[in-house]
Amino acid sequence: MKFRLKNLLLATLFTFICFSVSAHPIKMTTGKLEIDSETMSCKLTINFFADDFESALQSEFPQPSFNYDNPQPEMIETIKNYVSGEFLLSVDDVEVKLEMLKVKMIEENVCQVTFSGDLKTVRLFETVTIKNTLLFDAFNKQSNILHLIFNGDKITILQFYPAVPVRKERLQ
Amino acid sequence: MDQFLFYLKQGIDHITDLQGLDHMVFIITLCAVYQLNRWKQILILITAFTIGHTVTLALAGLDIISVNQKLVETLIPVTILLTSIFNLAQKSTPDKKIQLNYFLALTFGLIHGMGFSNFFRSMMMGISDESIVFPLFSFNLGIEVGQIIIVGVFLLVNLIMTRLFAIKHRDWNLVVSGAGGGIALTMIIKAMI
Repeated sequence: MKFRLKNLLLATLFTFICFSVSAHPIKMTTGKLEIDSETMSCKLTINFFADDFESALQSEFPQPSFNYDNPQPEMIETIKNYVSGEFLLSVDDVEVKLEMLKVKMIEENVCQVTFSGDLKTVRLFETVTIKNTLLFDAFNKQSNILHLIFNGDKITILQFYPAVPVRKERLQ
Repeated sequence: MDQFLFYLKQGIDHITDLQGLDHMVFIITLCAVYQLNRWKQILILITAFTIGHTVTLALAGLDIISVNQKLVETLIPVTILLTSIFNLAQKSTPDKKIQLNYFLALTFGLIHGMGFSNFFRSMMMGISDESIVFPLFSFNLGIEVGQIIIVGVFLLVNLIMTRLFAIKHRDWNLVVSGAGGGIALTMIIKAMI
């Protein structure tokens, strides 16, 4: 009896371990949000793995392959709409409209998208609320890292993942 | 402090991530052959692994060496498979071959360090206007903390299995090393497809 229990235990353990196998996928974006109360503006830079970014956007909005050297209007529009829908920013509960500035490749398989925002209606610059769900629909293991900078000083580094898609931080 | 804690947590999360078992399986397979009373040898073994992965994580993190991500992803399960075969080939807890175990832990640590560097470099992509040294140090420290947690939990389970359920250590080693080898084979096949 003891022998059978032992073998059952070992067999269960072996099966469980073998079936729980998975490698170490890296699904991530990094970014930087710079808020400047002097110029009443903000700049958002987001870095994507180009293959993940393109496959996610192409599956949602089918179109010719992205050409980062010469972005076509359809590509720019797709990226602008996608990022604007998945990255929402409010400063002191005032929603910020983000305007896309450029998209480019910065290194092998890494593309960078830059946005700017007008903060002229913000008065106190006390809090910032960010919803960052970029690529969450495309990959289960996706997480997004964002460096938050206020008037040139790094405030914090935020991480967003499906369980925590929204973060609210004090600026001062 | 905030930045230190962020990268420290990333290091701990990366190595203890249940959805990405490669490094964890390697550490467990590496320790499978040892019983709790051989904790000094386990300590040396883990230190050898630490030295190995710290060297390549630092070199790749600081851009001194470049890493082929695809190759490293294939080599990591190979290290698990070889460790598993080495464990299964031993008839008892190694005494004479202990030096070889340390050497393997050190060498395989170099490969795992390149895997850690892939993740670290991903976290730093496009963030070029700050020093990489402090985040690298914090992340590596997090890896060490995670490693200690894995070894601690594994030895506790080992203790429960061998004492409470009276499982012979040799059987325990066979199951853990066999599972490690099975997982590694699955990973190798996935990486090659």
